[in-house]
Amino acid sequence: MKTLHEILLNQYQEAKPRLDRMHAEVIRAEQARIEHPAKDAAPRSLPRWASPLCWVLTPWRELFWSSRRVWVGMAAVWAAMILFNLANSDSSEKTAPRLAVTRPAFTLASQQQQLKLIEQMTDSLTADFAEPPRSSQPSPRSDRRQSQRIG
Amino acid sequence: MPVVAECEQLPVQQARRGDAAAWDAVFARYQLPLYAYVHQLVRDEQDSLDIVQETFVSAFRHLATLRDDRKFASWLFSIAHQKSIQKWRGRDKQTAAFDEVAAEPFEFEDGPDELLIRDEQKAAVLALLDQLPPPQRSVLLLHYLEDFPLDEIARITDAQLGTVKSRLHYAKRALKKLLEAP
Repeated sequence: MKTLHEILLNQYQEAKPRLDRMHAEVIRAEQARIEHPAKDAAPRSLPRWASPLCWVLTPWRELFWSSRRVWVGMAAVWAAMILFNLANSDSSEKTAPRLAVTRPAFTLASQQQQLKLIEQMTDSLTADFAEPPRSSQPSPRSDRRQSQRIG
Repeated sequence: MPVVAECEQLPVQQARRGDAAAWDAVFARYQLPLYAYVHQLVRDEQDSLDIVQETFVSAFRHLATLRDDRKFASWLFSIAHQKSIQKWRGRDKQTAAFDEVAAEPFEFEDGPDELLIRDEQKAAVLALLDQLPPPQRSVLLLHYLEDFPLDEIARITDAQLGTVKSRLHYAKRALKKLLEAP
């Protein structure tokens, strides 16, 4: 009669020599690591943030990748807006020739209006330079006396 | 069957200071039960050896984090358990099998329950261990290999005490049924 403990350990007795070698190797390796820690430290010469790739990847990951659905949604909205604008600009180009046809008549009319305006202005200016009308009021009494004495 | 008090006689304190002879004694004491436990979970010789090796390396490097030397055995088994689960899940991708089995009401009997197994029953018992779901197998092994108390088994397997009791109950019941059969 055996216990479950004995049955299990007996079943794995064959592995004991390998386990002995393995644990001896672990102790030797770990002690060597403690005695010569420089071997482990050598590959870590640069801090992680110092690599240029980190400068690119970190913003990419934190700014874009974390909220990529929002960014994609915004890009879709912008694309829709650009397409809408392009479609509208096409229709304005189609209407442009009609405007071009009406433009010469418009400029002729405006030129005529300008000429009329200039004529009116020159008329009013010549009127300003004309001789003012004589006033009907008599001169002051003192002026009249002096003129009489001299006379 | 070894008792938990035995680990108090182990030179854990000397091992903390990096004494190679102390580590040799500690590893020699636990290597076979650890290997048996891990092999019963992962079922692969090379994987089991790798896990035991990784457990020893981890123990060597992190012994300073262990507060109570008397808990050394359960601490060592908890490292091995975690590594076994990682390996097992990574290989089989059957995480669901490690979840809890459907619980039924039961009266848990916690006491000296050494099961004596006849030689002709040995193969059947080992076959039964194969059939048990990994959580029950794990609890049963910890109970019979190292006689860990239930609270320490809960700590090793990272499970609730009630869950451990339930698992052990079903595993023992299955084992007893097998042994009582003519």
